[in-house]
Amino acid sequence: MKTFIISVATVGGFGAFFGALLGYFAEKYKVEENPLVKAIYEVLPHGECGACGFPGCHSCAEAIAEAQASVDVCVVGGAATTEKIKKVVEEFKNKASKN
Amino acid sequence: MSYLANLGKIFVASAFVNNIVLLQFLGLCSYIGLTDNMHASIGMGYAVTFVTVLAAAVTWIIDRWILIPFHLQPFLQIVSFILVIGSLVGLVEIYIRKMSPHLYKAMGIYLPLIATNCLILGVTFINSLQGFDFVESIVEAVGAAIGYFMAMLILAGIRERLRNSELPDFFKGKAIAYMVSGIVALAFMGFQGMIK
Repeated sequence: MKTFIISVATVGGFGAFFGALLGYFAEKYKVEENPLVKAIYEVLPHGECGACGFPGCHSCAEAIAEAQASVDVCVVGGAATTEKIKKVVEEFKNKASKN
Repeated sequence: MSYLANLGKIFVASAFVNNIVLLQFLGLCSYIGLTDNMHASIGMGYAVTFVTVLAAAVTWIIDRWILIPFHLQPFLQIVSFILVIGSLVGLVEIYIRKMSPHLYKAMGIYLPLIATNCLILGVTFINSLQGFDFVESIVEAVGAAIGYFMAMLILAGIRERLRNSELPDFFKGKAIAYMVSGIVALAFMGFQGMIK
């Protein structure tokens, strides 16, 4: 029983320490993400199926944002998702022209 | 034998005589996966060097000051060592993503996979099994990392030249990479018996 408690405490302590370290560094070296990528990613179905030809929904959103893929590339989402992505992209274009 | 000569012996042994990739067959995943691109293999070499040396230092401290005094040594070693290595890889990933997005993209999935690279865990276990002290562990880690770096550079250079040479179709890509690494491993066997 004593060994068990010591083991759990030790590994728990390591985990807490390294978790805190990682959290601190993730905050310090934060990468500013393109807000358009984030907005497109949110309307994608998050199936991570890869049917669009990209490794996952996030890479797909990046490609759409950089105009390397068309807005109707998502097979799973179908017409509904295409409409949503079109809307998001247009909103961003309007914002950019206003600024 | 003086302490310094002993350190030199450990270094040569881990870099050449027992080269971690070519003669112990550890860390082959990134060795084959990343060497089709010289730039990515150099970046990977630096990342692995950093993680290996730091992991050797931290795991030595954990092994000697926590695991052995509390009699947790054989069974908690893997869990705590992997925890250390995983966290260090996380740090490297965050740093590279911020400082060099291009390199981050080139490394792709292989960067998070350093966490499960058996090379680094292998080095920490060698240190523990051989009963090395702190400086010896660091030297062993530096030697192993340089051995890995050297193997990466050799194979990346050869594969860059192979890309422009005429090969039979069924040799192209990974097949010839494995054959070349076999020949390079044979060449490295020439170091055997160099240290007595």
